[in-house]
Amino acid sequence: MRRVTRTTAGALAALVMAAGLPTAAMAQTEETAPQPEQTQERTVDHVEVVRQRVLKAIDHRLERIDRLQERIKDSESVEPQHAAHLTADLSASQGGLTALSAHASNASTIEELAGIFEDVVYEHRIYALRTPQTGLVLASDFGNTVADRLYTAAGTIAEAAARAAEAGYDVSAVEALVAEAESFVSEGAGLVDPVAETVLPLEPSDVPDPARAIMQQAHDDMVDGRDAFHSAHDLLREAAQLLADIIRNAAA
Amino acid sequence: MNPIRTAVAAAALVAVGACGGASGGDPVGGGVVATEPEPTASSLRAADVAGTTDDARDGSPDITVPSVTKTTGADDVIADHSTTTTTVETLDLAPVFDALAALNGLVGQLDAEVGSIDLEDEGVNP
Repeated sequence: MRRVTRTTAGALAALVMAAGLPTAAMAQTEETAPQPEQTQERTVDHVEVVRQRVLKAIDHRLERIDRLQERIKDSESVEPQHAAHLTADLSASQGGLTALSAHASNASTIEELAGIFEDVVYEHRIYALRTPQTGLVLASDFGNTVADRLYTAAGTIAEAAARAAEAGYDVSAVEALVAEAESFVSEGAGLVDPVAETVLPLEPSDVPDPARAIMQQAHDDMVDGRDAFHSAHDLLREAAQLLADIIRNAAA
Repeated sequence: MNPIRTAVAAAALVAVGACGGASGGDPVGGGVVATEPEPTASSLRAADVAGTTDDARDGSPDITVPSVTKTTGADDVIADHSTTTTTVETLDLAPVFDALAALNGLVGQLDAEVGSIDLEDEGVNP
């Protein structure tokens, strides 16, 4: 794989440095030709240290996957097909990382471990893709639930206002507020709803481009949609208060 | 208040009630207009709005829409051309505000959901 070839040296360096090994160790591995007995002694020590580093990285990702799976499972608003998509991707990574863990346990060289480490990072992208992707999908579906509830609340107040109007009250200002609130709900839903379907198809090979830009835009849409929902909620509260005041003042 | 007119209106309302509760402001009989609360089946409850649990829903009171009576008696038309008496018995929007408070919680939860999305997640010892 071309990318692996391009990044092996970097991964190797990162692993060696993260493992706290002297950089000379890597230099020896790549550039010098030490005596055979020296190489064997150093390699055995270093391989074990790097192996533990790789296994730790895998374990952290497997733990993250477990947490993401739990979040999906606990979500009451996630669309079933979205949950199935996310769960399938995470389960595939779970299997892949578990297999890589076995490979790492049997690896005998630092170079081999570096290749495994690359697969751990680049083939699964648990942090750079799966974590924000899951968060965006769950937030998108939850946002749709919020929109539904806001629409229901708007309908409730509109119905109460209509019945008050039927009784002779002038509730046109209330109706205007409710209409404006519904407009904000619609705007918010228009931003939030497409997010899940936009980010779900992203794969590790899409990182960093185009995934980063797509997820950034999706995140911005979620923020804007959330703000629209806030505005809608504030307007509905104002409408309800106004309706209560109109009736109260008339009764006084 | 004209006691005669009130008596006429009261009698008319009794008649409306006896007819099974005409609603929606339709004219009934000799110019009497009666608007009554919608039946409870159409009442909206806070839990329906907020989407709270069944237990909470069961405990939520109905929204009470103002019970309003309008009467226009024949004698009024003769005397005043028109007379309308409006009586507000009750208006309870508290469940609506409860629902909006619950919604505020939901929007706050969405804040947390959005806030937890870290596009630069580096994980733990990645």
